[in-house]
Amino acid sequence: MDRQKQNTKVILLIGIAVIFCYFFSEAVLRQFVLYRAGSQSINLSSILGKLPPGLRDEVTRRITIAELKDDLKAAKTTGEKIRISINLAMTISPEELQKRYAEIIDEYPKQPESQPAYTNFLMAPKTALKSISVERYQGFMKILNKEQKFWAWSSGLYKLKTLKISNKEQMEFLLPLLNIKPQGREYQQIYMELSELAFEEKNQDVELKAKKLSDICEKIPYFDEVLEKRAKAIAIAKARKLAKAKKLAAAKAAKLAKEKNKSTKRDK
Amino acid sequence: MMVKIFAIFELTVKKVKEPAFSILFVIAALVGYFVSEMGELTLGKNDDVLFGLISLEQGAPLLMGFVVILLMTLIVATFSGATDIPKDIDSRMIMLVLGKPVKRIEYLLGKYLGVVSICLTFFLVAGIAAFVAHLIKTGEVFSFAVVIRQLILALVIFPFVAMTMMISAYLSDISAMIVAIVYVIFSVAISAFSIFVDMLPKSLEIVSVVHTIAYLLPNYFYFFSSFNYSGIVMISLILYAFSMTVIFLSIAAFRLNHRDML
Repeated sequence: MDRQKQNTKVILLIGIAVIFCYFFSEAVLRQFVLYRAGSQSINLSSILGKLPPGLRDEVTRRITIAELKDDLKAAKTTGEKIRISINLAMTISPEELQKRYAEIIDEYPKQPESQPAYTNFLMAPKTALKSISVERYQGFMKILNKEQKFWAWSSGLYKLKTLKISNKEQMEFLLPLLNIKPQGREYQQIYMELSELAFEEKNQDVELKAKKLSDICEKIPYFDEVLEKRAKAIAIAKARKLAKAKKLAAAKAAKLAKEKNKSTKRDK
Repeated sequence: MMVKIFAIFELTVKKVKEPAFSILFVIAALVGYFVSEMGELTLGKNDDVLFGLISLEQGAPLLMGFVVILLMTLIVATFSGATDIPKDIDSRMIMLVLGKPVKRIEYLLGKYLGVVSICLTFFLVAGIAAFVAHLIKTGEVFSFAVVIRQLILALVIFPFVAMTMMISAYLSDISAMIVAIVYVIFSVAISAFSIFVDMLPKSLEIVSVVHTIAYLLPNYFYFFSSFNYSGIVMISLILYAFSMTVIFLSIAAFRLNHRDML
């Protein structure tokens, strides 16, 4: 009886050892293959391309959703989290996107990345999950930088147009722009829109002011050009700094060499 | 115990003396001769999944000819592994053997070692023929590393034969052969799919399901990747082949112990 028990114990131990060996070796080999596959950069899109169109689209969508979920988990800043969560909701469904936009406004009301959510609910009908008044939208825009501000103005105007809001209300939405100094040539289009709206509303004062500002816009560069110039200036400054540091290092080396020469002469 | 296992092994290997097996070895030599100049196994980016599953960058190259030889060997393994035990049961030969003081596990191990030796002999005959043919045709000898790399392929034979014998412990010979082939095809498909799924984002819910299924099937792709001989990958490959063999044989032994042989 004791012998039988001992045999069972030995068999059990061997079984556990074998199963451990199986899982361990499988894990090592799997990681090895995955590591090598990564270095060979397997082309997922070419594999997906072989699937039937309906299935391919669904698989691609699922992969995108999973990738975005992973990105969301890895996101470090609040801005990043908002941006990825919007993309994720957009990929899942239009209903999910509306829900997410509403959550974003509640959770992050003062975050620049929440701008698409504000635009989405700008003057939205009562049936929508939320509605943002023009005043609240304009108040939110104060926290945006100049590029974001332009985007908020233009997307806000586009939203009002799609909602078929009256010309008067569209004009009123853009009125604060008359008191702002235009910061990029991109604004020219918005000022032209404003002048046209004012013309239709027979508001000559606004029309003239908008035209004037539109003319000013023509003389200032685009945001991209400014950014490019800034990048170039930074690169030049860096290069100068590096050259200066090199010169200093060379001068130091020369000085040291001279001192060495002097000391060797003295020794002789 | 070893003597009894050896006796069963001898009984199984004796089959080699049959004319059919002599023809088989002649075929092996001919296969070796014809595949000797097939070149290295190469995969390009157009091979998609295979390119990701089998990595051929490191270590000595795998020769295409030896992949063909291995496939032929696996066909032999399917035939002999899946038919040996059912034939013994059908012909009541098993009763004759088990009537003697031979345990069922000893019978199984003897049979297993016998079939493995036949397959290894087939592989080696074809392999030696390929090396000799290469030497005669080109006047060049394969380097030691290349020879070892091709021989490592033979590791596949051990779990493969155990798998066919496990299936044959449950079914009759023809059914066992068919099921073994289906199981291999299924294993290859699931292994490829599980590795492919690993390359996808972790949040994809199918990952864990596919992994669970993949653990129930052997992944033969691992034996085809190239790697340096020393190190954890080589050890893992041997451990993988060994553990799979033991698991398959344990299932077969369990079945034989509980099976009515009449």
